[in-house]
Amino acid sequence: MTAYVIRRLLVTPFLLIAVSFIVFGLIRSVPGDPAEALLGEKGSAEVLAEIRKTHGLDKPMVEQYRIYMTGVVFRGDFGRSYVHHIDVTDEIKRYLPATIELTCAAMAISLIFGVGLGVIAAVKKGTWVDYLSSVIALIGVSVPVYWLGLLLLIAFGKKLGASSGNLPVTLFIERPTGFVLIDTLIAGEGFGAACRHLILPAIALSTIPVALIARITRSSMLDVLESDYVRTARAKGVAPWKVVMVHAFRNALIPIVTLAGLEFGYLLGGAVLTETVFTWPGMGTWIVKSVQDRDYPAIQAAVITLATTFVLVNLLVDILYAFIDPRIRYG
Amino acid sequence: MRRALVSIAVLITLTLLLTGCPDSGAAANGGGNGGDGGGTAGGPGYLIYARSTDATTLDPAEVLYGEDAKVTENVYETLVTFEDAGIGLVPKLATALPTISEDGKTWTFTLRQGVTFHDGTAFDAAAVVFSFERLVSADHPHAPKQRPYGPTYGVIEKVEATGDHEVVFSLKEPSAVFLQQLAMFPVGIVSPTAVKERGEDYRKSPSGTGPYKLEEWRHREKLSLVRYDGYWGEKPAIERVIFQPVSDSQTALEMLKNGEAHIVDHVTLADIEAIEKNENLYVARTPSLNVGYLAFNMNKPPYNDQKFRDAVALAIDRDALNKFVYYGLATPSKTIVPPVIWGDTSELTPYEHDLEKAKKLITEVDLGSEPIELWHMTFARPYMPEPNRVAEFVKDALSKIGLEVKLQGFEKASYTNKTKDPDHPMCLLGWNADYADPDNFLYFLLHGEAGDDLNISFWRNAEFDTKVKAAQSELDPAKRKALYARAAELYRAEKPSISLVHVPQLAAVSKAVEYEVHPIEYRLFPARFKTN
Amino acid sequence: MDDRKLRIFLGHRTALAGIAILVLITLAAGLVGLVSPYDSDAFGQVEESLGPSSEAWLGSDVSGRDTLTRLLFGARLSLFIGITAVAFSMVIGIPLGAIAGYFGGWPDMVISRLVDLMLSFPSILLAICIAAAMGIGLDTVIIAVGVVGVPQFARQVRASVLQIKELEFVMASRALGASHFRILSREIMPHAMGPIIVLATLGIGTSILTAAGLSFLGLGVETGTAEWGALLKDGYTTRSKTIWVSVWSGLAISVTVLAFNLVGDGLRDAYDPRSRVT
Repeated sequence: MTAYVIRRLLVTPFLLIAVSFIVFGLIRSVPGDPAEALLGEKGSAEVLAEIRKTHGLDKPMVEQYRIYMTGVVFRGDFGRSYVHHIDVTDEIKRYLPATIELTCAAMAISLIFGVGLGVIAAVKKGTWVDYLSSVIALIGVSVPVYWLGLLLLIAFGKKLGASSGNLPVTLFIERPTGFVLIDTLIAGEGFGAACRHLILPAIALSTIPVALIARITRSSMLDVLESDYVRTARAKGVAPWKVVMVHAFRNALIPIVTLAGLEFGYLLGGAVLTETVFTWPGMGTWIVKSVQDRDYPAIQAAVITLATTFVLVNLLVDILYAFIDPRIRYG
Repeated sequence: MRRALVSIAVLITLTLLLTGCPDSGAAANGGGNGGDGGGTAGGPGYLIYARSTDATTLDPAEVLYGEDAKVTENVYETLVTFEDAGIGLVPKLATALPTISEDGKTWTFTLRQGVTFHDGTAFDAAAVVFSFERLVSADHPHAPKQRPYGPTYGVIEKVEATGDHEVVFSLKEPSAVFLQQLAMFPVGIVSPTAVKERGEDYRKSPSGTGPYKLEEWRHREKLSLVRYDGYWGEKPAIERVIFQPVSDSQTALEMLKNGEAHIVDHVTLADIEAIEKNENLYVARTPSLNVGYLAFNMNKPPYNDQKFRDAVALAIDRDALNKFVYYGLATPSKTIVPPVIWGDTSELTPYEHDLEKAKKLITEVDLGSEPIELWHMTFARPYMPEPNRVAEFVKDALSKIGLEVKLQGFEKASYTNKTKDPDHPMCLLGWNADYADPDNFLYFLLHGEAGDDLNISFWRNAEFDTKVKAAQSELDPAKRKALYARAAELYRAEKPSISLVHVPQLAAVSKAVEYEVHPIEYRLFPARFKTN
Repeated sequence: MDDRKLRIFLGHRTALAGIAILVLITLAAGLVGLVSPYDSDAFGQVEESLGPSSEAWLGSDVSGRDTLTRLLFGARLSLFIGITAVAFSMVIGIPLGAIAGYFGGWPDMVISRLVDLMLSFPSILLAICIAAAMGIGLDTVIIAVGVVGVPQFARQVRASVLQIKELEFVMASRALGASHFRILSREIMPHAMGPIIVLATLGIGTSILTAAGLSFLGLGVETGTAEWGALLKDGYTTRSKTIWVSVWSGLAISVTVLAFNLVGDGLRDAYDPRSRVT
């Protein structure tokens, strides 16, 4: 197992390099002269040459990539936005926490409801409750998350007094962490508003994981409920709720945790769509705006950052999983 | 089977439940109390102004779009300005209107004393000279990165400080419009100390003499202005104005109804009727001092082909455009100058709409092998509250004459660069008057000297240029009118661009706020909360 | 599909429901041009912002276009995008997976790492990145969504080939000196088709969902196109007037994707009865 973890840790940097290289290459393949984009207008040949020189755009692409990544890794410097003339790193510091926060909130909701639904469905196997849960699970994976978000917004936006995911602009508080819930708690004001603005996007985002977690919980619970030792426990006269919660659920947990971990990564992607519907000020909204702005340094940085987060989360899940369930062998 | 049916049934029920009444019309709790926060007399201490997109620069010399001007016009002041509710001119940072020499070329201003910039620098003649020089000459050491209005002030020969509080402008020739141009936002007076100190960051941390100063700017999230305590004139009633970019106008309207915003200036025209009926809201409006137009690239085939442009013009039905995209609230355009501006040629016939003629013309054009493209913005402007729909309309109109058009949308920050790209095809754009004079449209948008930032058709017509230029220095109104009439004829015949509509400036406002839309400027400092 | 599998599939009632939905949608989409009195894109054909009525069964949008007609033209486009995108994924993914599984060694190494790499992006992110590089348009959507689906196919086919190539009949034809290409195409691939069909069916649903997502973000098809994601966005931006445009197009996406999921599940049961959950 230790060998597996070490190997996983060793591979990750290479994976990240490859990911960033692909994104870099893809963005550089965009037609148009980056020097012109930097200048913001058609300049004379000399001016453009000068810009290419100062920004290293005259060097081969691999060299440009090396310079870019050196800046990213050693100085946390993702470059400067072509169109807004601000440091991209500052933007990441603002938007990444917001996205992670939304993702975590959605994860919490999907664990509570997904596991709950799954356990009930397993215990009440074959009844209408079970049916309903399968229907919800099926719908959950078929419904576009932005559509659900839209419906939620129409139904509850007014009642919550939160027409968008933006914090009230009247809130002037320090944002040391970038996580709205934490920041408003520290500042001692606006926590309620922050919750109101977070809840709808989080619910919308959680639909797919709720569905998947409910499905896996159900089948995993069923496996365990039909196992010998649960039957033994039942035969011994252990209270039914205790059988379910203590004996069965604990053992059904492993696949649930794995799936939840994997889903966490996918939530990061799903957040892109959800954020746009709710104008949640996170990475997704930023990426979409940057694409519309043709702000390539920003797109590049945003995609690299999100993909890196995704890779790291998956790594963490794999390692945790290896510790939780030492029986698992990796080929 | 049952499971499938059940799931579909659930889906439908869910949908109907959630959307049973799409618009109940009842506003939540009126405007006025957008969240928590301390208040001053008669309302909260802040006014939330929701708009389509964020500012990009707060350096007045760099500003091109209204979204930037909305901020700078409350932060900076000019030597002269427009009347409170009109288009006449009154002194602002000058103590009086200028004294003008007999030949009309020397303009002397006496400046107001005791005025300070937000950074503490004293306002004086040197600051005025500095502000003008960095705008007019590209090689000024503190010239901004871009100066879209630079060429406008080309009439200035030199600006001199003849005393601590006296400035003299020497013009190359007399001008009928220079006084109005001195009221425009690009010549907001900047603090020389701040510009020199802050360098490239000045665009993010401005320093003017206006009633409000910048408090905080969280990019794409909010931009808040706070009352400037050292302001020389009447201080604004509302302590803070917070600009919030809300690109989706429907969200903005919901915020307004929820009391999360006080003013929304990019409501879709489709909603105006409902807003007027809402007991907590009202619509503030001014006449249409703007134009939405479609500009062709006069240097790129097939757009530079007169027949192509004639065909496109013939294909567009302005009445239908007004009905389906502007909900009947706009005025179909006859020429690029809005009809409410003097010198309008109301005797002009409407643009012709004739599909058969257009179809025939287009067959005579060599369309080349590249797809025909139309570029458009994706952010709402007063002249195009739904820019995508205008583009769709044009595409549909042109498809009727057999022209397949590819649409490309851009956000604000990049569209500025796109429309001046020498390789652009045809673009949708518009113009809000900086002053109520035909010159502001004809010279700015079409004159050969105007610069590619503004003359996005890259049109060069010697006769047009001569007429418009002559009108600038012609002081006799009757003669000017004749010159502009000829210019309008040339414009309509050659069609470097075709004007589409003129749209009233509208804003949806909470009844808790007293606010009037100024015909030209974006003035938030006179706004106040109602006391009752 | 042999008789036994067909029987399992036909006994799968939800899968049949899925088929029925898809047939219905396809028919409607195919016939809309003949049946509907309206054009999909022209402004002002019916009264604007009309609720469901006899003139426009599902209402009209603010530009006076019939929603039902647009939805059905949208079905054409969305199904087209879904199918071509999956075809794209298959054309690239299947050969890659087959080569990796069959030859092993360094080709396997390279391809598998590549697949891992692509799976290390959240799929919508990769699609957005490609869309950003290519600019909006129908071709962009198909390629972006297609590329995102490649690794699934490659991975699945690799696994199948690895398993099948050890079987006796493959060994036999190898011993008889058949060429690699012949063995792969004639002996191995026919036996690997089951999971591919399942994946392709589910993949069409996912592709429709991703493509609609791109268009909703404004990064997919051109504005104003009658495509489900674009329609949803259009209804969303005019929701005070014509919210139904969004509601119906969201419903259309959901039902279609659901149908593909149902059929896919049925096929999976038919090809691999062990995977049956209930």
